[in-house]
Amino acid sequence: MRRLLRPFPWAQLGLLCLGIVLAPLQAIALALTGLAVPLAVLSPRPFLFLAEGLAALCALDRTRFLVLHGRAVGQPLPGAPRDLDGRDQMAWLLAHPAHQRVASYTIVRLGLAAIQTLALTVTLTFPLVVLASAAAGFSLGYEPRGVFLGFFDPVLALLLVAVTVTLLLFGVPALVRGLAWVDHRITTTLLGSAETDELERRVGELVSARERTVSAADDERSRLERDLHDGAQQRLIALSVLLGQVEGRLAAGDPAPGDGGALALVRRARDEASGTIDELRTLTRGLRPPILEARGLDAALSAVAARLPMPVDIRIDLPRRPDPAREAMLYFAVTELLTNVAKHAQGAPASVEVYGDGALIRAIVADAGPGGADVARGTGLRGIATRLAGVDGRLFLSSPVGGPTVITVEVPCA
Amino acid sequence: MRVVLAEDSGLLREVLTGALVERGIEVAAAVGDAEQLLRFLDRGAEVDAVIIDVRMPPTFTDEGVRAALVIRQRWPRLGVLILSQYVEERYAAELLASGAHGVGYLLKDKVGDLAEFSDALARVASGGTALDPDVVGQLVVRSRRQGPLARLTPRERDVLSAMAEGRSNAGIAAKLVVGEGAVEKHVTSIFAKLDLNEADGQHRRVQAVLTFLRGDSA
Repeated sequence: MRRLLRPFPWAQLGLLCLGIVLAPLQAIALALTGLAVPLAVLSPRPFLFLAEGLAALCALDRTRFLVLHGRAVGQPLPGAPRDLDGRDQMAWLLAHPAHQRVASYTIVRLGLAAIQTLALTVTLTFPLVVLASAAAGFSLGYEPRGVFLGFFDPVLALLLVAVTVTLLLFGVPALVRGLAWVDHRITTTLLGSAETDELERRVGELVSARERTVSAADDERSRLERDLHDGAQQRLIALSVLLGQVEGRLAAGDPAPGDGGALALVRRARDEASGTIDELRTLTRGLRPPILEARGLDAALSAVAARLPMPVDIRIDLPRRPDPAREAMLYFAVTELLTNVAKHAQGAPASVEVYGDGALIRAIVADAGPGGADVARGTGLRGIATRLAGVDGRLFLSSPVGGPTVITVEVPCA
Repeated sequence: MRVVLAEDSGLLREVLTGALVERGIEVAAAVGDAEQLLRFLDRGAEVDAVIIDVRMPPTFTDEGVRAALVIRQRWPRLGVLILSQYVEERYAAELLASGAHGVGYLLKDKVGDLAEFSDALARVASGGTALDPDVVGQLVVRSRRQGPLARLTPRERDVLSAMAEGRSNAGIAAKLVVGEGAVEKHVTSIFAKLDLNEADGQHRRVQAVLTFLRGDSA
């Protein structure tokens, strides 16, 4: 009984009415968007504009439920990445499952709105007509018989009025609630899973990024081990052999002084020692140097630049230091890129610019060298891109033959 | 003494060759990988020992050990001295599976001690054993728990370790800072505990060392 005596569901009724108004508008927007697809041959602009309008209507549609459920259904539709060109944005939208669902949703909504309209019109107007007619019948008497409902005798008329009032009091609210519930369910099913989609996509991305990161770290370790084994370790062994020779000669009173004497061996040993030091320095370049931790990117990158053969202009403009992982990532990326410049740009000057806000840090490494760099061919660039993927970062390359080469590294910091 | 050197690092090849020559050891050839080494030996070169780096092209894993196994099969009288960057007891064990005769396994970082190194080389060339103390140490740890070796006293194990390194009784005595007589007593006791007959003579040392090194499989 309590269930039946709830107040009239005005909110649900409002929600339904708004939906009924929005549905045809959405349908029109969808139809126009569809018509704009072939127009993309000329320009993708109309499509993008209409798709945005459709998305806005959908947003309004989702927000309807805020009144009733305290939260909108689903998530806003994701917009196409701004850095894509128009046609690619269009392809992106058409391929996106959430956007694809908007089409089916709009069609379902149109049908639903028609049913809702019919149901509401009938259930709301019929009782009113009955009551009005009954009132007219009573006030005018039952003669002449032409008056609507007048052919009933008063008892039957009263009975009909009682049934109608009951229907109006209990049936209509139930119907409105039911329709609103169905509306909510359908909207949730067709628009709400944008959230799930997004999560699925993110999980997929993260899984593959993690795999890439793990294997990149593995490759990195193998490379490091090989470099150490082939380089520094052999040098140090050679050094110890040379010193062993010196020891032998000194113990014997250096029987062969002069050119091949202990002195020459000591000189050779010293050369090997400094060669080893150089090699270790080169190796640790890819790792995290103490100066990065102590003084940050500017100091660390300046130290790197100082060792390079070409002039490097470094400008760092960050509101605060990024977290250590991202800082190391940026350091590594910029260092690798500068090493590439040193290797390939034939001494052309380079510039490094690092700037960002709380959400994104961008590092731009440019050189006036001969250009023609290619991510597919350079393992260095691929290595950077792979490591960047580990923190959701990206690498953009512009390197026309003849130069200049501009490489942008983006690292989000959420 | 004539030796062949197989080592992929050109620098080390050159420096090591220089040092060996200075010690009066003739370096018949210095090659960069196992294939060249085997080709050289195939030509019937008269050498007493080969020095082989474990890691060599093309895969830089265990080419040297595999080449050593081939050499031990095809030229059993040739001394084989393996140089390794790390203590890789599995490699040592594989090498010793065919006997401890004329086998050496040294860590590369000990090569600087040229006197010791050329001694080891000479031992291997004349059919003895030269195992790095670190390699032996690792094998000891593995074999301590089971087998006939468990019957040895700690001192006897020390003596056996030194024996596995390829030392003579005098060498063992010097290393453990005891008299030669004491070492002889320990050695006799070790032979008894490992059931090695007197009839085997000098060969018993090799047998003892082998038992010791195979301790992990006993």
